[in-house]
Amino acid sequence: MFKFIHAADVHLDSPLHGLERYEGAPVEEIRSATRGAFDNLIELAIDEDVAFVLLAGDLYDGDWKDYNTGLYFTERMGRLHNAGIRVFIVAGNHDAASQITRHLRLPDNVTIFSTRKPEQHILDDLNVVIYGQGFAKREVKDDLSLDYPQGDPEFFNIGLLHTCLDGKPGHESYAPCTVDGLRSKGYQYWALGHVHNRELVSEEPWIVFPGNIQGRHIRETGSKGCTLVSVENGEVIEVEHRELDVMRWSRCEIDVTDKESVDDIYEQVRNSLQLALDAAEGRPIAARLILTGICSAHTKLHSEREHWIQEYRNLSNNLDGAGVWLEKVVIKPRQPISADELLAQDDALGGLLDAIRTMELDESTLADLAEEVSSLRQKLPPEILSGEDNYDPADPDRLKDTLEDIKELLLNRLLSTEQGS
Amino acid sequence: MKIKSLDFTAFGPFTDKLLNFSSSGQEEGGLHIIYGSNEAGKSSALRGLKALLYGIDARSPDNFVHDHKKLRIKGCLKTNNGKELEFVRRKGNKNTLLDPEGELLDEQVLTPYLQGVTADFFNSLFGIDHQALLKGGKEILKQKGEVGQALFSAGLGSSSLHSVLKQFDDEAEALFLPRGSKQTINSALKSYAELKREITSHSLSSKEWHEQQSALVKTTGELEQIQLQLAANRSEINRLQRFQRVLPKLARRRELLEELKTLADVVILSDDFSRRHQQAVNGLETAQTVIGKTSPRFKTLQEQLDSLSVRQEVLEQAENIEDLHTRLGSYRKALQDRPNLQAEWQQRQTDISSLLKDIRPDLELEDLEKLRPIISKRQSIIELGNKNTLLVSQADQVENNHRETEVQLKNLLKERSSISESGSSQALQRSIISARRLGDIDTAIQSQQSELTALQALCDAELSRLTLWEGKLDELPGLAIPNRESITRVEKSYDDLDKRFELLGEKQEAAVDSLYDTSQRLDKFQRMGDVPTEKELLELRSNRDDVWKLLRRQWLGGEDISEEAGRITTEVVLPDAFEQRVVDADELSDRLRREADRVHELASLQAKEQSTQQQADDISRMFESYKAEKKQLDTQWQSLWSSCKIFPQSPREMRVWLEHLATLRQRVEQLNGLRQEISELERNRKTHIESLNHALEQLGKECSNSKVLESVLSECESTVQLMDRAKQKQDLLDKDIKKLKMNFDSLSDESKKAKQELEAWDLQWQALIESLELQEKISPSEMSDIIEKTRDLFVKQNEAEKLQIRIQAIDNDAESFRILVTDMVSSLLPELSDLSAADAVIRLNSLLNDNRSKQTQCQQIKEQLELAGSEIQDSRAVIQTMTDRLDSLCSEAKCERHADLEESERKSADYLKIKMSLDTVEQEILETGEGASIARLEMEAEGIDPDSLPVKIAALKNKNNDELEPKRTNLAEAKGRKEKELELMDGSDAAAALADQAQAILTGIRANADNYVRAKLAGRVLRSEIERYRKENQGPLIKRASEHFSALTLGSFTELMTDFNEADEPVLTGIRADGDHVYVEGMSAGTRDQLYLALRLASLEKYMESNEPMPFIVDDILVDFDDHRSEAALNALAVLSEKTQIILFTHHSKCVEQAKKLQSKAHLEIHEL
Repeated sequence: MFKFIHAADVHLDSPLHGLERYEGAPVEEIRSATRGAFDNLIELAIDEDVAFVLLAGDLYDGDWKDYNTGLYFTERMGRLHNAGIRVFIVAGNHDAASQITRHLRLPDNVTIFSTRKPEQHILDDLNVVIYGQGFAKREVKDDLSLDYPQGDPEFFNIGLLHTCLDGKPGHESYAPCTVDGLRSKGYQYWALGHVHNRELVSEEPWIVFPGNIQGRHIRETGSKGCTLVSVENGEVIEVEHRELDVMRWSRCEIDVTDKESVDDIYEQVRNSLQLALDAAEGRPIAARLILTGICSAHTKLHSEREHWIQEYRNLSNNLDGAGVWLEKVVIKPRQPISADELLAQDDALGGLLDAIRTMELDESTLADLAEEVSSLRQKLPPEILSGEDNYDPADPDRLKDTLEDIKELLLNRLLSTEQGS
Repeated sequence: MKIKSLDFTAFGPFTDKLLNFSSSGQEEGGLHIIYGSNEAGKSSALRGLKALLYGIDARSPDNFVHDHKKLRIKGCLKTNNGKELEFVRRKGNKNTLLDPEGELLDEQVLTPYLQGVTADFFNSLFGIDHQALLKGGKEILKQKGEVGQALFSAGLGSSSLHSVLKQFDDEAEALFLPRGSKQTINSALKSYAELKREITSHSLSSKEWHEQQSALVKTTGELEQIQLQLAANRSEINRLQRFQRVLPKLARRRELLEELKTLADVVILSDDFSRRHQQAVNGLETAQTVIGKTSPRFKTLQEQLDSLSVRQEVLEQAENIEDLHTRLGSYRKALQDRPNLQAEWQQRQTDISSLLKDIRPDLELEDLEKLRPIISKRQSIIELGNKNTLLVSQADQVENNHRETEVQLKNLLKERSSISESGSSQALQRSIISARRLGDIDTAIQSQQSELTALQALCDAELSRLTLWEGKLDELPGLAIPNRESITRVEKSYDDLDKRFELLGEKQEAAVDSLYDTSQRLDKFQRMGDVPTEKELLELRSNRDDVWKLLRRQWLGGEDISEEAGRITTEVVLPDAFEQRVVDADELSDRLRREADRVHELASLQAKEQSTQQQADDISRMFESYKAEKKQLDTQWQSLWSSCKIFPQSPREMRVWLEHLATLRQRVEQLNGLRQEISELERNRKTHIESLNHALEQLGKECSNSKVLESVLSECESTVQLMDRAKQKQDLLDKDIKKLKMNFDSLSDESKKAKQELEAWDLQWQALIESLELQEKISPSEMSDIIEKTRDLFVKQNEAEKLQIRIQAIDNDAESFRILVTDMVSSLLPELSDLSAADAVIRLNSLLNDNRSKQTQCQQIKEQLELAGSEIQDSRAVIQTMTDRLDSLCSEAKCERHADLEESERKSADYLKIKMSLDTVEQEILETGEGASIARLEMEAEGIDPDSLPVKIAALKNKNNDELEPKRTNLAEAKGRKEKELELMDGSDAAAALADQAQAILTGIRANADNYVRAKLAGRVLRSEIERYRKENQGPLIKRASEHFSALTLGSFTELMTDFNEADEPVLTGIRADGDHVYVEGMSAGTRDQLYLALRLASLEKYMESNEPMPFIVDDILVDFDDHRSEAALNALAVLSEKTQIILFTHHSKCVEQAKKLQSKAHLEIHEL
């Protein structure tokens, strides 16, 4: 019997996204999260005395240039070397773009598969063959698996591949292939990478995406880690998910319907955050707080938005646990009576709402509005205007969304001023 | 929408407070003034009104009477098209809307009434209060009269539009300015750029690392080379230095080897040879010396011993002599003490006789023993004497007490006789307790009476409000009013009748409509031309036939028909007439055929008219019967009430009336009950007062004339208290007198007893004196003096006896000592027999000492002689042993004489010394040679020139120090630096951490940019909307506002219009009667408030032109208006109230007064809280 670890999408040293710093945020606890998770991987490999570790691509982040990352990796591979653990790596789309890999000298327990054609490595002591091919360039649109050799029935065959499989939403469509295609190769285990969510695609044979080892933004919530596989007599006998992440992303959606006061909501927020924190089992969390539902405290929440964000931050700083970083507070509740009814009325307010609706539909007005914020747009760094979480204030779709917010904002500000006794 | 009624079932200070906005049967519209003084709950009412529509606030302060859970507001709303909704609002999170029966209502049922107006919007557009008015006025000033903003503000009912706009601008500017640096986004952008630079500086490129790595390898190689070279040189220097050290030693070794060769035949003696030799020589010499010294001493000692002689018989008496010598001291001392003792004895004798004389002059010294009884009875005499003192003082004490008690007793008796007896207060106390049991009956009566008065007033007021019935309150309970069932029955009958009436009305209307329609159509039909009818044809034909008959009679019968013909036709002759008739009939017949359709239609129309008419008639009849029934019902209804002389209104109204009556009846019952209670209480009170007065009389006290129980009670209570106090004092005095009397008696007894005791004592004393044979009349104190002296006397006698014994003993001892001495002297020293005993003892003692010292000397000499003898013998033996040893040493050293031994010893020592030096040198050579053998060193040294060595060594050292060592140092340092640099490139996560930080900043920028865009665009959108609103509404709004403004300012301003300011923006301007333009900045604060109000009213009117009106809620806005302007404002509201319901809340009665005087046709209602 032997065990091996299958991990992917480590993205060493890639920064966490969407965490604005504020007083009391658990900055130090979350520092170098990807390294922390990778250290956990090394520890797990040694503790479990695995025979080898498979890394299915995207070890590095594409545009990250610091060679220190490579040196760190080399050092950790050295530890596995000392423990007699072999490592097999295929390059992913990010690794192909990475400059770190070029000159890195790795210890001889590490095998990196060729990017030109599929290679195979035979581990005689375990009766195992591992097949693999890395990405030669960032964009590989061909089905790499086609050229993988047929599995040898005398051996336990493992295919190591970085692929989007048959296309996964939110992931670029690289090295696409099909489950049937993979099945036809006669392997016992396909160790895939690229998709950041863990997925057991098939059990006959095993086709597994282990997901990434550390969530890096709010779209990567929940437990993250690797897959620990046990093999006996040429058959997989156990496939377990092992948590490696050092901090966790969590979406706390709270329905505030029928909450009478902001204080009630505050308590509900506390409970929800504490639950998320408890679920992270001693890890710090980065949480997005989303308040939904219809509620009479709506106006107060909206008009004192900044104040409440600050209150919730203070609240999260004082919870029991390893710390909460409040990533964002989204206040979604709408007024109990829809603005549409106001819209129907022929008066100043109805006119205002109507005007906003007209703007949303009128390209030239949108262009005018875009012009209004162009001076800001010019100053914004390209990292904001493009990339994964791009934000372009002049983008017409974003402007339409913004107008929706503005409608809410105007209603609140114009009507919430104190009137009457 | 209008509010029909508002019923604060349980809210704020109210319980079932109903505000009926349609009570007077009028439409609900109009101006409703809700008046309440301070604390009446005006604010609660205002909150309640809004709460009815939009829910009770979670933190409503209106729970001070009714618990939050119990808060209820009931209301009835009505839309313009007559739709009504009656519902109840309770407090809660959800399901707060109920129907009057308490069933849940969906909040959606309010939608047709609220028309999408949210709570906020209702507050702002349909509510105005004093604060908002002031704020609105100020806002106009802030906007500088900018028309768009002013109109838009008023259109929204907002009083802070300008601030909202400014807030957007401020927010945007605080976040970002294109050329700014301190704004949140600007500074974040800067930090981000800096961080990016920092990341680059902390990042390590792979090239850099590899360059560093290979440079380190190169430097390490070079360093190793230099270190090898240095090591080689150092070992050469070492080698040369070794030779420098070893060469002299090799030379010395050679010399030593030569010397050894010359001493080849020397006998090598053992290491201890010299010591053994010396020991033997020394031993020999010592023994010889001892013999030389000891022999003469031995001889001298022998001579001394022979010269000494000792007296043995003296030594034998040694013990006795020593004993005598010891006793000599005490013998001498006793002889010395004896005279003193004799003198002392004499003194004692004198003292005794003088004491005796004092005590009993009649006695001699020999009779002393007669005094013994005084000593033996001493204790009892003293005790008896002491007892006398005690008895005397006790008797005095008793006597004093006796006298004092007598005086006290006299005083108390006097005081007691002054207090008079009084009767018992028990009866009075019982009356008091029984009266007290009633409780505070006075207050109870008083409060009941005031309650009675209030209730009476309430009943009177309600009675006066109770319409339809004239009578007195006490007739009410007996009033025979119809029961509820009869009323319900009649009401149902009325309802049925009403329904029938309605139905009939509808039917009649339909019938009238139909009749009208039919007659219209008939009329129209007929106006289109005559329609031939069968009747006409029949008429024509019968006419024709009549003419024919006449004609025939004339023609065939020849009758004169002219008279008859004249009746039928006058104009023409009969045949023409007949002909005409025939033609007419034919024509009509033809037309009938030709116009059959019209004929038919006419017929059917007529038939319809007829049937409709019939129907209408039927309905009229039914109306008649309805009226009859109604009249009958009315009669029945009135007869139902006739017994109580009431002319009833409708059953529904009567039911309300009955409810009022029931309430009133209940109150009257309460009133009667209360009266009864009061009279009961008063009767009770009177009985008790009488009983109390009676008790007082019994005690002979004056009666109270108060009617109030409490004051009678307190009088009685104080009487009882006084009586009790006197009784208490009396009892106390009696008790004291009794006690004193007893005391006085016992003291008299005691005094008697003391006197008896004193007499007994005198007898006892007398007997004692006699028994001691002393003089009579000795007092106890004199007696104690005699006892003292007697004791002294016996002490002295005792001492004198002891002295006598001692003198006798001294004399005895001296005699026996003298006899012993005389014996000793006669045996040992007969020549000294005439010496005194003391001197003889001293001579004997010295003789003994002399003989003893001679004996000791003799013993010592004998011992010394023995010692000297054995010493001489020992020394002789030693001399023999030593001589043997020297002989054996000679044989060992191979020499013949003892004297040669020293020479042999010296030679052997020389040889050993050289040998040792050689060993040392060889050891040194081996050490210096650092492991090389001596032979090898000798061999290597052969070719070396010692003089060249220093030069060679210096050269090598110089090369190391000046050339190689600096190079090594530099290289080592360079290596260290490179290693350190590489160490720093250790896979640190510094750059990654900075990247995290950069991401954080980007996130912040993104969020703030979003905020900026929102604030910026919100301002922009709002501005353009304000402008659009102005363009669209400016004309009519300003025209309407102008009218209001003129009215509100009482014509101080004739007009409001738009003008342009210096910036060419449209602004509001007031126009004075004389044509002066006044900008808002130039208006007084009050005028600006009125301007704001004018704009608000105009905007409301505009709103109502196209939307369902909502009630306008006005909260005390007239506070700051002067009387005239206040009237003008009320007037403006009254005018507006013709279009929508206006509810004005006020604390000020003046406002109510002013409203009552309004010359407006608007409907006005005042509601009091």
